Amino acid sequence: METELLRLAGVRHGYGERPVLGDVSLALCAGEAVAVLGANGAGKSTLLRIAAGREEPDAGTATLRGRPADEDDAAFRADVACALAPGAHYPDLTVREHLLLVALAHRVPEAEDRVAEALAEHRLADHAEQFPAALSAGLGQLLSLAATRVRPHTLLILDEPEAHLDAEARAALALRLAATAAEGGAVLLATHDPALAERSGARRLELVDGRLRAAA
Amino acid sequence: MRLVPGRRATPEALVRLAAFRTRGRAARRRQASYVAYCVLLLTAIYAVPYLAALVDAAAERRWRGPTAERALEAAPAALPALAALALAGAAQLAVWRGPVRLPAAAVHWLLPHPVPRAALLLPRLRLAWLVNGVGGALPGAVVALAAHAAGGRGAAWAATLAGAGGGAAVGLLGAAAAVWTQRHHPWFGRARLRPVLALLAAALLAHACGAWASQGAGWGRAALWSGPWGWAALPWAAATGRVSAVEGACGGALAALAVVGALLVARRAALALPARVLRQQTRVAGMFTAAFYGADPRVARAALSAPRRARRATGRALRVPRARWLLLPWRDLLALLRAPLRAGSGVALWGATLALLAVGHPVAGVAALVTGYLAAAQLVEPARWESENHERGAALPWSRGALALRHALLPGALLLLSSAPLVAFAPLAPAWVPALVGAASVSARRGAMPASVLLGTQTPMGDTGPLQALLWLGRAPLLVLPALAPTSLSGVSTAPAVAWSLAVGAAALAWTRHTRAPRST
Repeated sequence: METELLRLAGVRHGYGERPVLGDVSLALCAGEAVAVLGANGAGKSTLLRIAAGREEPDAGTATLRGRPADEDDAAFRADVACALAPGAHYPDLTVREHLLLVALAHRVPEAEDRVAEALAEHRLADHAEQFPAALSAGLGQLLSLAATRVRPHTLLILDEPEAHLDAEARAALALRLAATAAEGGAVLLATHDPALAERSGARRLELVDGRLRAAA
Repeated sequence: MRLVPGRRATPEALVRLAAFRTRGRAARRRQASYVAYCVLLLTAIYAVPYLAALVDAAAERRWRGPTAERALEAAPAALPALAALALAGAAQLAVWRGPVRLPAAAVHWLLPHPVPRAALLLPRLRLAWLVNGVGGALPGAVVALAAHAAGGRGAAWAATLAGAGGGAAVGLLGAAAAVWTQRHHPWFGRARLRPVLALLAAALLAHACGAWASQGAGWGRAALWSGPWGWAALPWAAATGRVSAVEGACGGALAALAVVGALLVARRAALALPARVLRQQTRVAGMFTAAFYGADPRVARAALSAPRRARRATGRALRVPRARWLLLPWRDLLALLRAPLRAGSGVALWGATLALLAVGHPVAGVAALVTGYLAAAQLVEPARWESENHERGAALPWSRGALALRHALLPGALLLLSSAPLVAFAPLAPAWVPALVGAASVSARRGAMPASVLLGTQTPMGDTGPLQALLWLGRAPLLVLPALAPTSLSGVSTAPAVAWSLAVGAAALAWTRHTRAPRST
């Protein structure tokens, strides 16, 4: 029997008078990947932020292993890896050092080896000694994705991970997501790329009018 | 390879981070040393001579006089009010710039991971305590010295020490209030501390006004014992003989206890700061700093209100007019209705303008010019959106000059309609409207200040750069208001004054039409 990891139950959320999510329920088990598709402004990012414990829904609950999804909970942060939005970098840290920082924060054994693997997987090996400011948008996205790979997690949440990636990088991303699920992790991603969702073996859902339904 | 989560994240990550950043440490230290050198230099040039003069005056109590005596009598009531005001101010500032802040990179690369929050946040809290403690002690000492110079009793050193201690206590209490505000942040829920502190400050200020008016000693004693904001001033009051030594000692002890308690509460609050508050404040602080260095106060102000705007209900929209010429006034009216504070300020300022004009005195007339310009500036605010980003108006079928004039329609109509019924009392008000709106429109459309404006010429009086910047920012009112000033002089008959005002108005509106904000790169 699959272990249920993430549960969103009756989630409603809006901004001011504008409802975004209306009664969304979702259960995500270990070894499963779910891809949420939808038009711009459909509420995908909001859904992911609630699942990542970064926003509290107006109604309903978001739980991870039965505990509330709360990014301020250290155990939650140890369990959940997110790549939601581009952020700032340390101007004086190289790409490699950024990844080492994350690996060490999670007490990953043999962190240097793990980082080297992630750099190679994400085609960042040649840029390892560069500063992130020198990276293109696509390489910056790969750095964000690599940061989720150098640390342990039971749930991986990605918001449009295919942004700025070329076809080869997207294909590699799909394979990695499929491998994550096969190894027993759970993946929740929002994407505009149905092919990515399909190749990663994800169950496809669509967010329409604030509700989730199976995608066509 | 499937990674197994570690039991607990370790500060080793932070140790390694410090090691990684060793490379840039020398450069950061040089930069910090340079900033410290500049601060010390400016302090030595500007502050030290005044401090020396103050110490000298205090030694000889050179500022004695009836006003100084009255101020000293009211000081026991005034100091707690000032302290409460400082606490309210600290809590208000913490809404967008709390004392416990993380750099943007740490927010993105450390906060989402199980790095112990204590290792990240407590050093920032301790630094805030140091800054606030010293930042409170210095003005406390200066105020005590000034009071001594005004004829305060007792030894100067004792009063100064007591003032410094009281100031440090208020600074630390302010830091605690600020951290509490961050912990229970108004952007993400109800926050009770700020309104309470604001009410307290208002009540104590009213009390101090009463003390000034009545000159009764009871007022001061009541304020001094009203809470930690007053206990901090009791040692100073004792050192200057206004209360007994026992009261001073008790007050000092109570203040110390209050500070310790507040710091413990602040420590707990800091450890529980929500990540979303830290993230949002880092973002807002970044936007504000960028606008500040670009010498654009309006963008800086907009950065502070952005989080509130994002959460505010959009409200019901006005029906879109069918007449094309009404489209921009409709757009501007919608903007004003969604910023009621701004619209209310404009109305209040225009009311003050009409009242000042009705007085009939030349000085009141000049003041009316200033308030009238400020009123127009509030109502013309929606016109700034296009000057900030030319793309905003690119889809509209009008040239930039035509847009500028169309944006003047609503403010002009509002000011004219409101002043017309009162034309018997303030006949010049309607005639000033075109000039005031024109000047406000030119200011609204100036865009970001070019950096070249700040490059001045060295003169015996100093660098002209800051003056050039001020002139650039205020060029419209600096030209238009003096042109209107002669019309407010007594003895000038109405018809020529109105004609001259309308002529200035036509020139100001023509200037509006030809003003172009520099394109941002």
